[in-house]
Amino acid sequence: MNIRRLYKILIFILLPGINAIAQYPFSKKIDVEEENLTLKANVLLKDHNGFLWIGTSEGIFKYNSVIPEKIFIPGGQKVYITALFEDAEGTIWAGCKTGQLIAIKKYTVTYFNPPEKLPEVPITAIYSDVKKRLWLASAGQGIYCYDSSRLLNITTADGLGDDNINCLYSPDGKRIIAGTDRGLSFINFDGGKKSIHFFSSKNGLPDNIVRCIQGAKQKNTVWVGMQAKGIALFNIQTEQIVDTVTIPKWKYSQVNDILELKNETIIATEQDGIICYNKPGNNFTCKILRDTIFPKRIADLQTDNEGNIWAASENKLVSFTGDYLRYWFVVKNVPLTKVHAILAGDENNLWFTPDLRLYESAIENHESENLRSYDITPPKNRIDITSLYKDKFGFLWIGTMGEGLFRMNTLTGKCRRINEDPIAYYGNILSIAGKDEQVWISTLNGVARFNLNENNYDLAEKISFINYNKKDGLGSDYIYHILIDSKNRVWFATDGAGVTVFDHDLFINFYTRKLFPSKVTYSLTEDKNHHIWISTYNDGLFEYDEKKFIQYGIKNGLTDLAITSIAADDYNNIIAVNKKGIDVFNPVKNIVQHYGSESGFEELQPNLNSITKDADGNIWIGTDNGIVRFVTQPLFTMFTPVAVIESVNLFNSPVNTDTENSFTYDQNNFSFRFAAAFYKAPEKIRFQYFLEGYSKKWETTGDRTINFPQLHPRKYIMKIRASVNDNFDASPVSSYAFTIHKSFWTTWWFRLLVLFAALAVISLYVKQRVSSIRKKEYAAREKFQLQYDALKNQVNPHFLFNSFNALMNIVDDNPKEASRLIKHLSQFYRKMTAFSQKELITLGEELELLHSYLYIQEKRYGDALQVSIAIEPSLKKASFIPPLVLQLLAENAVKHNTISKFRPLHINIFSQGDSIIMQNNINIKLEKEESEGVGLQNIKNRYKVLTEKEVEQEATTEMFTVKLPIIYSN
Amino acid sequence: MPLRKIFIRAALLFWATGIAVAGAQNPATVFVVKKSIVSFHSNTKLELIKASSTQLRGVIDAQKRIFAFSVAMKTFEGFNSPLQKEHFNENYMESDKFPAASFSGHIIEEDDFTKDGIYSIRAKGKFIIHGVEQERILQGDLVVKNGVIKLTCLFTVFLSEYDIKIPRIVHEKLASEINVIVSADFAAK
Repeated sequence: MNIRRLYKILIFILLPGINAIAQYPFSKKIDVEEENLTLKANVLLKDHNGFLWIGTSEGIFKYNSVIPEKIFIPGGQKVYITALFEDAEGTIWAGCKTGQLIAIKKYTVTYFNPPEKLPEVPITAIYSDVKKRLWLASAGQGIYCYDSSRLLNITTADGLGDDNINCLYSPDGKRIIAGTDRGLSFINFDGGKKSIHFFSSKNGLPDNIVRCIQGAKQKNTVWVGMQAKGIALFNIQTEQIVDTVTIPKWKYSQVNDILELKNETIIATEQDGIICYNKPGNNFTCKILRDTIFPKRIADLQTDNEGNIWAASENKLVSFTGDYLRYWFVVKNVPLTKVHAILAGDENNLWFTPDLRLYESAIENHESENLRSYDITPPKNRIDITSLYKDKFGFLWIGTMGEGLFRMNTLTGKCRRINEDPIAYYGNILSIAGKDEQVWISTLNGVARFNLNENNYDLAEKISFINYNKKDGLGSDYIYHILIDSKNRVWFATDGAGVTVFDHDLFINFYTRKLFPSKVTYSLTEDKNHHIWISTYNDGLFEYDEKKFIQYGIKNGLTDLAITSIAADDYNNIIAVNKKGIDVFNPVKNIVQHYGSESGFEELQPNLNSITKDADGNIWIGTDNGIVRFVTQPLFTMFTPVAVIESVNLFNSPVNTDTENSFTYDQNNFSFRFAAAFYKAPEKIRFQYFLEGYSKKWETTGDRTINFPQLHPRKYIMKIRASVNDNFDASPVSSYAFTIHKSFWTTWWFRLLVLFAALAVISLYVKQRVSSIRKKEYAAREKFQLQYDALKNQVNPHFLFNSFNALMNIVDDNPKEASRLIKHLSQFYRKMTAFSQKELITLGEELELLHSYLYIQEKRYGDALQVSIAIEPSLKKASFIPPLVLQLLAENAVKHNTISKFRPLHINIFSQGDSIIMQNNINIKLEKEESEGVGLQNIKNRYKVLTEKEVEQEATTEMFTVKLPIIYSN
Repeated sequence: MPLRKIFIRAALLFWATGIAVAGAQNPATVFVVKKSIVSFHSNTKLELIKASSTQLRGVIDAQKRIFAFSVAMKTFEGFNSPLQKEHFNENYMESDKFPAASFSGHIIEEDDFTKDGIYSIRAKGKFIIHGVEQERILQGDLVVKNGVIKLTCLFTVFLSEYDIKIPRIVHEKLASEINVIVSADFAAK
């Protein structure tokens, strides 16, 4: 036998002793665990992302819908948390038993250290007002207010009722109301001026110890929870207890938290678990949560974004469905088993058939005396009622399995078994539906249509009827459900022939006409758009829009195709009940919201077509173990969890997504962790991620992390979204943009730079080559030029002419002299031709040549030409000189100067240090000989190629000097 | 001396006296324990242990609504045997180290106890037993008549909360929760 059955039995045994048990929510519990530690959950908080935070005696846990995880506190020490609050900037503040305050921001957790001292007693509440002032309530040292720079302490000395503050509340972000051990204190703190007054038992407060203050739905009122006197409603404008609310006497323990729902107010107590204040009935009931054995101490309550309520209890979180989903398993000691039929009456009442009996109760208040039972078949009064219908006379039609059909006057309780129609008399009545005068019943042998007339206000009066069966076009004799639509057509859900409609006296069977594919259909309903919905045995749901049947199945999100009953709610959702729970299907948005085992549904076993909708639009479902009330809302199926990127890690270190989004090429391994709050069924959350710049499409994953190693350098945006029903299109997207920059060597500008550099190098090299080639070319050219010049000199006609003249002058007179002259002339020309080819000759050789040349010139000019040569003998062999240089210089001297006895030309050639100097005095010739003028330049050029030392020339009015660098053998 | 001066001096004197008087505690609002019985019992299947003391010391200031009580552990009499009393003081209470149990704090209700009547009040304060401090709220009844306050208070003490260990050998003879009854008469100081 499993544990759940055991619990059920236990509760049944305990039943007689338990007083006034009421509706139950579905519940489940989550353990808040730390290894080997027993901890106490003290306070709950829901943050702006919908995640729950739990403050415990052993630290702070973040519950982001898988399991609660402990937050690391700097210093690592244990903290006993007594208060939690989230301010407008998203910082979570946690107050400790020691008076310390911890600030939890997205990436940092720090202790808050104002210059003034924090309290040394527990911080019981935290609040941040519109002026961003942080208010701290302490257990014994009054209230502290931190105003960005100063920490003020407000105590009884300032007018506070008591220094022991239990809670804080602000109706508008400006005025602070504190719950203290001496009533309510009202604090107005504006522009440095404090104005404080308090409201205590002297003013009419039932109990001075105010444990909690929560907003109430009634305008300008708050709920005040007290230590010994329960709850009270307080008007904050008139500052009075609202005494129109006559709350019954409180006999339970201290109130820790209050939560007002639509139909009831939930109270968390210190020793009595959850107490429920039922407003219409004006009573308190003790809400025992079935799934947890009677948790006694509930420290705090918190709603989540799905409409569920969480209770912090010792080391567990118990969540239970909010107002929207409730079930009853017993009403006034009547166990609600096998509720095969259920009907919402028009007097705000409910008919139901637990355990083979018929009962009726007022909807709002099941605890009162309004539970009535009816005797259908005395004395046993036990029959299996499967269908109920109230006709236009107000009489209740009751269909049974095997005992036929009854019509009952609900006021008198008098009952008549319908015997006009034998089929109805002996039959199993599966469904009854009617409109105005018609009442249709379905059996296993076809259907019957009863026509009421005005005489039938009398119960005893027989009713006229017509039977129809397969042969009439019904398609099958097994009819599970009948529906009369807004156009007065009658629809039949059959077994074996799909769906049939009776319109204008004609039966049309869609199955045989091949318009409807499914044979076995169970339930029918009509939605607000007048579309007919049909549920089938195994083919899902069909929608008839007057033209065709549209099929919906698993792919649309339905959790189970074995649908036992369907109903259309007031918001155009289709409620489909199956053994797993309730599917709320919105065909327009094409999404399904499921309420199943995670809500505690699994044991219920809903009954076929045991469903009804009351005047408020609430859906009531009869099951084998109780009655379920389901309240839908317009945006019900719109709920999608909001995905958030919880953390981004680069390799293994966290990234601050607010400040860091620029990375270098080698920072390329990113991990993302995401979360979404969906507490009903966290295992159902699916995420989709899309890394813009990498992914090609949205990828679906059930994991909560994703890793991208070795991302290429570029811009990225990581986007995520979440869904619980595989429909992501409506989900909001969270994103994080970041850029991985290229390594500098892959950037275009670098590459371009390299290219230019390469080009520059190449061009430089080329230039150098070219210039060296040019230099060589130049040198070669110069050489040729010199050769050419020398050659020209060789055939200098003037020189020859003058030489011959000189010869002529002496040949007759001095033949010996003449022959010597001829010899020198020929020597000169011989040497010139021999040397002119060479690049360099020894100084000695040049001097010999010069000597020959000068001999000839001396013969011509006689004493008018004076040449002195003073060269060190060692240099003659050791130093070199380009050929014909000295000869050219001498020739230049002769060419450019007048030579006469009165003004002789002195040429001095001597060596000096590193140079050979040739000097001559200047006698400017008036007529110039033809000359190229390039001789000296040529000499200079030649030297340039051969040596770095330059040829220097110097000309004064008296003297012309040329300085030739000595070239030593290389 | 001129009359005015005398008059002024007298006024000053009166004024100063008035302050002095007002500054001193108004004796009518401070009540001290005159008679008392503090008894406790531990009720188990195997044994019933009872003891009581008449030496409760305490004071209530009705105006400020504060109180303080203390009782010396060694003044408890009535155990089942002298040995039991010895164990009580030496092993459990460690009376040499922690001679007294005390309770001090303030009264939540704002009723005026100086007036005759019956009041049901709660006292919230620090309870110290065996050196361990616990915050407690105790409910009590006050019957005020003719300037005498009669206090009756019943409460339970959980031994584990005060670090009082029960050896396994005796844990069936000693209950983990002890029932205490305090009955005290107060009169003005």
